[in-house]
Amino acid sequence: MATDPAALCVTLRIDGGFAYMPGLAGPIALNATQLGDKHAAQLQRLCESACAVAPKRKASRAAAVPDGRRYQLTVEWGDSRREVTAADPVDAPALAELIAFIEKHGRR
Amino acid sequence: MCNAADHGSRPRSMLCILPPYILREIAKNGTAEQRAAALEALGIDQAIRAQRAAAAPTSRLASAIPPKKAGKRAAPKPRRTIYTAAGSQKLPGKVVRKEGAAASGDAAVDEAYDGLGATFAFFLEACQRNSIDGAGLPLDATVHFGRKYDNAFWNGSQMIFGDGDGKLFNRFTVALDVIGHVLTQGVTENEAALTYQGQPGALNESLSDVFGSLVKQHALEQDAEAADWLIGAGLLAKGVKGVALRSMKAPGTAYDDRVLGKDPQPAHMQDFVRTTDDNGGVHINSGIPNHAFYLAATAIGGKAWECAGRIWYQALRDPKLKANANFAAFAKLTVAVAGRLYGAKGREAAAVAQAWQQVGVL
Repeated sequence: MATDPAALCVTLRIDGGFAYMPGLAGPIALNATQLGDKHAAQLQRLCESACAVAPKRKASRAAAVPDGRRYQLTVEWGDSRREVTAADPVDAPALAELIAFIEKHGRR
Repeated sequence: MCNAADHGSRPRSMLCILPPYILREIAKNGTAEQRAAALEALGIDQAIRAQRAAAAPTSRLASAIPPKKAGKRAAPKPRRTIYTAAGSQKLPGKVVRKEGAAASGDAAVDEAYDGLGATFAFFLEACQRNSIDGAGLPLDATVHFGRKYDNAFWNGSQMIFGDGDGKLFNRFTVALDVIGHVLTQGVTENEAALTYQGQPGALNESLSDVFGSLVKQHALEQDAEAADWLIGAGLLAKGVKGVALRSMKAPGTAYDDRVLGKDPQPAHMQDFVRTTDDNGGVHINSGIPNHAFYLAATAIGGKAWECAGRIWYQALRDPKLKANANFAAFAKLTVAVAGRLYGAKGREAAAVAQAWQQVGVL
């Protein structure tokens, strides 16, 4: 991955869930340039941690949990691009933290 | 034994071998307990009843029921445990309230506890079902799951409720029908294991909405006419333009908000939404069978769980309901069950058939 935090851009798409609404299904984008230094550094740490725990290969699509949500994260950092998928309940705290961070700071 | 949920006394099992015309007489003229047992037996297909009666002494389901003792058996009671994830996604979390303990003072904990109790009572009293699996499964729920988590779900072994973000959604325990919806996911998984995709997935969602709404109506002792038929009333945060997540009475009208968009639920097959999102629109197209239930329940009248709900419940339990069932397959089953329960030429079967016709399924 590149080292310039400013080149970091993450998009999150949430699908499904008991309160599924098409209006909320659009991708949430978060660019490090939108954030102050402290939050940009936090985003970088969260992305590194999440990518480290996420499986390298896309897991085969398991049977959906009724009302469970699915998450598709795309982490772009300079020339590097990584896709990470997860589903409820998100077992890895690093992934859960990144998802919560993007929901809080990102823009639809 | 007709039913794993059977918690009655010996005469109930004898009903398995009675012909339908006698069962219908008992359903009309018996005591409350006899009527419930007769309707339960009527809901099961004749051939299946014979099979179950023959297989009962050695069946897996029967073995789950404690052996009868002399005297009257105590009525089943819920066994609830409420946990908190305290903002994490670790399950089940820390125990915060167990069965019989006093209120905790934490609204989400106490709403989950009370909601699970109301849902247990509904399934026991209206469906003669002892918990999610019909055999007294303990009810476990985790609240305060995740951070500002906008969801509630059943993970195959327990219920999970988020606090909501406070901007769009309130905490997910706030509405009793939401708790009933989530617990019903477990019932459906036990009975029909409907595929969570496309029409069977939307049917799965609709069954949870139907029984979620009935849990609320049962708790409020409401007639079909008095019920609001909303799913998630009170769940939308202040300032959001909407009354709930879904409306069974008028699908497509629950909300129309700048952020959330407009409620996309159709009420008729001609407006069926084809999409790859949301497991093929399971939370969208559920509006069609939802509306069919509303139409049937209001046409029949009275307490919706007593007749229309019983028909839907028996159709859910019918072994002919396959995991890949579409709306039409389920609709035909409900008409057949209504005929078995109340007579093929009865007004109940006619109301159910007409409801499905009105939404364009039959």
